[in-house]
Order: sequence, then C-alpha cells, then structure tokens
Amino acid sequence: MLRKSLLAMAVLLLAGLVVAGCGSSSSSSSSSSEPAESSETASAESEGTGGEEAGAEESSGGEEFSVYLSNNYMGNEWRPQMENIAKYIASQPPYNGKVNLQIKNVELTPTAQIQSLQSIIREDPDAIMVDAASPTALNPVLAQACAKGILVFSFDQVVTEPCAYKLPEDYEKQAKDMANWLGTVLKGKGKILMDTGLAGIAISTTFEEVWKETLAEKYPGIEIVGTFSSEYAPGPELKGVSQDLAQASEVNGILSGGYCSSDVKALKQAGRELVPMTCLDVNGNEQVCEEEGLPCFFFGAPAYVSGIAIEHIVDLLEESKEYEKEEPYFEKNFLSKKGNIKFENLQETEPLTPEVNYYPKDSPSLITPITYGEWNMTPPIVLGEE
Amino acid sequence: MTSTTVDTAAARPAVPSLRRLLANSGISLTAVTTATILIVLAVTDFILQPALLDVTELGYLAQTALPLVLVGAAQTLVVLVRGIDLSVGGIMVLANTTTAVWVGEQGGNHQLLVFAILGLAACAGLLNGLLVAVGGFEPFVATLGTWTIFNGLALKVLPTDGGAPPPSLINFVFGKTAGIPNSFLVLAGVFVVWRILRASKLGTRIYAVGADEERARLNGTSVVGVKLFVYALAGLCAGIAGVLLAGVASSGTPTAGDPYILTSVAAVVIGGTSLAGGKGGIGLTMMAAGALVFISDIVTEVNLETWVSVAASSGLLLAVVIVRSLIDRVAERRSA
Repeated sequence: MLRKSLLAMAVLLLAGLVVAGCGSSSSSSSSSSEPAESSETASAESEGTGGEEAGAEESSGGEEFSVYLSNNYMGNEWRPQMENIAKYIASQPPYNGKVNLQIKNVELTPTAQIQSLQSIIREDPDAIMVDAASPTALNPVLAQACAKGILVFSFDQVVTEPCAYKLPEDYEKQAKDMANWLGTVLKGKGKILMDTGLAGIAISTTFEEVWKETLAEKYPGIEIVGTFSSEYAPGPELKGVSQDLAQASEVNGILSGGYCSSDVKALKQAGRELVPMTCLDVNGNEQVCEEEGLPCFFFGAPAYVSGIAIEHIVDLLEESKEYEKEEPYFEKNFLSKKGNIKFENLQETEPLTPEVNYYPKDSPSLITPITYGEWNMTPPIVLGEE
Repeated sequence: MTSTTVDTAAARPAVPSLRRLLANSGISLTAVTTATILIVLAVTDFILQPALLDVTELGYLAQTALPLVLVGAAQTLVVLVRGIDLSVGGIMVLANTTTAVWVGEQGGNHQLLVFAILGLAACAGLLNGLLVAVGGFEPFVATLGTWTIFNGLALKVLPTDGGAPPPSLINFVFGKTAGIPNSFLVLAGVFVVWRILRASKLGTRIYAVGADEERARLNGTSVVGVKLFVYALAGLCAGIAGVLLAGVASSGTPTAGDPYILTSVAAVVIGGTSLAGGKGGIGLTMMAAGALVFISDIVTEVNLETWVSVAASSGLLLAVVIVRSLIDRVAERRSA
C-alpha cells in the first residue's frame, strides 16, 4: 500500500513539476530584461500577428516596461476583446519592444484577484492595469503596489483607491441619456420593462437608481410593468424578458443595459410587436435593430479602453505626458436609424454608420466601435483571430 | 507466481508498521495524506515564486485564505453531523456587509458591535439548526432557502461594494504580533479552539451523532441539542469569515459569498472529512483550504491561456481528489 501511495504522490508531484515547467517560461518572461516567450505575452507576438501588417518596425531602443493586466471575468465577449486589443497594441510600433505585457485572468471574486495581484506585485513590474472585480476590495493590495513604486492603472470597472489612475465610464450620464431617449421616443407615456443587471454590481445599481429617478421626475406617464436581470448575458436576458412578457399584456419599451438581440427574440417568440429599446453597443444588437428597422439606443462601452490604458501607461512611465488621475474614456452613445431623434442628452450621440461604428457583415460578438485614433484595428484582430 | 508471493510478503511488514507508528502517535493516515498534498503544492508554489518564502508575503497569502478556512470550518462542523450548509456564503456576506456598513458608520472602532454581528451570525446558524433538527427539513433544502434570505438581506444592507469597516479590524488583519502576521495567529487560534472542542465531551458527542444518530440517542446524547450547537457554531465561523473578509478588502462585498459555498465543500472532501458524517475534522479542512489556495496561486502564476488555466485548476483539484480517494480505498481494504 505504501508503494501505491508513493506512486500516487509521485504522479501528483510530476503534475506539479509539469505545471512548474510550464510556468518557468512565463515567470522568466516577466522580467523586463528578457525577451518574452509566454503565449500570453504580447511583445513576443509582434512577429506573428498584426506586427507584419504594421510593417513590423521595432520601436527604437530604450527601456522595456513590464506591464501586467489583471482581469477577473471572461464570461462575455467584452473582456476577451479588451485583452486582444491590449495584446495587439502592445505588439505594435511604437509599443513593441517597449511594453512587455502579461495578462492574468482570475475568477470573479475579490479574494482571487487580491491573491493574483499579490503574486503580480512580487514580480515587481513597472505597471499594473486592473479591470477590477470590486471597486473597493482591491484598494489595500493596490495601495501596496503604489507604495512599492508600481504604477497602477484602473479601467472599465475602476477602483476607488486614490493612488490609482482611472479610466472609468460615466454610468450616471449614460443612464440618464438612456432614460431620456426612451422617454422621448415614447412621448412620456407607456409601459416598459426594466433591466436590473447583476445584483451587487456598481453599474447595475447606478443604472437602476438613475432610470427610476429620471422616469419618476420627467416621465411620470411611463410605468415599469416588469423587471428582469440580464446579468449582461444574452441567455438570462431572453429568459427574463420572456417571463415578464407572459405577465404583462402591454409593453411599449424596454430599458436594458444588455442585449436588444435577446429582447427582439423574446418579443417575437411571444408574438408581440417589436418596441423601442436600449442596450449595449454590441454588433449583434446593432445588426438586429437595423435589420428590423427598430428605434434603439446603444450605450457606448468600447473594449479598446485597454489600448488607451497602455498608451497612457507608457507616457507616464516615460514621463512624456501627464494625465488627470481620473477621466472618463468614452462619452458617446449610438442610435439606430429609426432611433435617431433629438432628446435631452448629456453625452454625445452618433447614428450607426456601417463599417464605422457597426459592422453589418461581421461577427455579432464585436463590441463597437472597434478602433480609435490612429489605429486601424479590424474585426479579426479584435476577435483574436489574426 | 513465486516472485509475486515473495514481493508481497516482503512489502507487508513495512506497511502495518507505518500505520501502527501513525496510530501510536495519534496521527491518522488521512491527516498524513492531506498534509502531503498541502506540502507538495506549497513546494511547487515556492519553486515558482521564490519571493513567497518571506513571512510577510506568506502572511498576505494567508490573509486571502482566512475566509475559506473559516467557511470550510463551518462546513466541516455541519458535515460531521451528516448535514450540509449552503447558507454559509449568505451568513458570510451578511456579517461582511453589516461590518462594513453598521460598524463602519459608527466612525470609531466599536469592537462590541463586531461581537454583536458575530452573535447575529450564530443566530442565523441556529435558525438553520432549528429547521433541520427541530423542523425535520433536509439540510440541503433548509439551507438553500436561508442562503437566499441571507443574501437578500446582505444586498439590502449594502447594494454594491463599499462601506468602511472599522480601522482597528483592518489594522488587525494587516498587522503583525511579535513579528508574526496576525493571519497566522488567526489560523493557529482556529486550530487550537478546534482541538479543544474535539477533545471535549461535546466534541465526542458531535462525532457520535454523525456516526450513528440512533445509537447516540440511546446513549443519552441530545441529538437535537448537538445539532443546534453545531449549526450555530457553523454560523459563527461563517460570520467570522465575513468580518475578516471585510478587513482583508477594507470594504463590504455583498456578492462575495456564493463562490465559497462549493469551495468549502471541496475543502471538506479534499481534507478527508466524510460526507457521510462522523469522520474527519477541521484540522484536515484547514490543510485542504491551504492546498486550494496554493492551487489557485500556482495556476495564476503560470499564466496560461484562460481555458488552460480553468482546466489546469480543475485538473489539479481532480488529481488531489483521486490521490485522496485511492489512498483511502487502499487503507480501507487493508483494515478490512
């Protein structure tokens, strides 16, 4: 029995060593002085991916910055595209050879991300980019990073830690614009369904509060006849809206932070007329609204914020430019052809234009718009297919 | 044929002597297996991250393990009496959010309020005990219901991450005593309290109820009383986990509890506590929780593609479970 036990232990040890073997390349690549080899390391990809397209020019010498991206959730299309864009930009001139990017994904729990950040801090990188599992729970560990002289850059789901640079979205303004748009389209009257998002998440709490407040204040004739939790995924939204439709005999609009494509499907399955609706700027939502000639509002949350973060990080590390500690990275929303009306808006609005801010023949998974500034990112790059 | 006989005969004396040696020293084979799993994973992690061989860094790692250790302890207690507690995550976030909001709002340190919250957590556990031991509900169903209620209450207290736990709690979690991180002292404290309980009459009764409820009753043990105590103590442990999490995160997190439910069951199983009740203990679960934290740290450190990371994490977990069950099976066969 002892022999068998030892054999079993040896198997486990072997598994551990295999893992260690795999890990040694990635941990060595975290050093800023050595070339990267890990599959998740962007500076090594410049040869094989978009580097060729861009002429594969190596950026002029100088220091290579070790940058970690700490991400916590890969359950929808936004996060993978955000990572693909970060990898692409870090592999392109002028950032190739200048940024050694490593990505660490963890489960959607604050303790998992705290543990992962502790491990990153031990590597002593130049900067950490964080898409946070919690706006507050990571603050102590990020304060430790700042104290060690590591530049901390938070984006998308930002943290409240004062030492961190932040590229957030203004959820409050977005929510007000969504409610005002729907209120205007419905001329202040009607019955609507409202999305409560994902319980406990900052964006959901803000959207729900602002929507209710704005509707009560400015559109008292609009009644919320049902709520559902989209969980920011198509399946739960389809289920939630379908259940609401079974109970509500009349629905004139849908206020959602998720998927118009699911709402349209639910309405069709229930044999109802399609109604004006709001949702996320996902290509599939935009395709459905344009195909159906439906008034839709798409709140803007492009995934290329990771690219902007890399640009800012390099500027800050090279001390070539200064930035505010906190500035919203995107203040624009999009309207379908039928939904392009004048309304009281706080953020800029833009009508959908094929191949500019939506892509009729490309993947419905794309988060739009896919590119910005001087970059010329294409759907395959953003989807990680190139 | 002959050589096989000779080999077996040669191997036989060594194994019983090892088992006898362990038995004489009061250490079970289960404990040795769990400790070996923990050590192998710890060594692997240390090889990958030599910087971890520092008392402060290890203290940080232990901090992130504290909630799982305590929720695992809660789950072990309930499993020992043939139950299961799905509400541990709910009790944990209820204690976590009330610590961040109610205690934090007082503006001071107010340790007494923290004790009141722990009392609340014990009451929440007691409610589970009443439903199971007095009401006769299946533990799975009863705690499924209370889990939802406790989660809802936590969201009412704190709709989204935030709040401000008392500074004394944060200082305690991040602090050191005589150069030793307080997170280690908490782990040591949990183990010592468990050993005291285990050695007491009450501890013996917990095992007796888990092994054979009817026989325990015939021997004069109050089965209902033992179960009520166990569920209340489990609630207290889950509450401490929530309070400590508030310290680790310096804030409240109303959605943090759910992932701990299944992970706590995993820690119980990997540790070697029997889901059939009456066998195992919190010490084993503590080691298993440590192993799970090391697995998570190793997988994060090796920095693989997301799908590989998920598969590697589950694969390592599976390897550990297989090793555990193989050894247990062989041990059972030998003792039979």
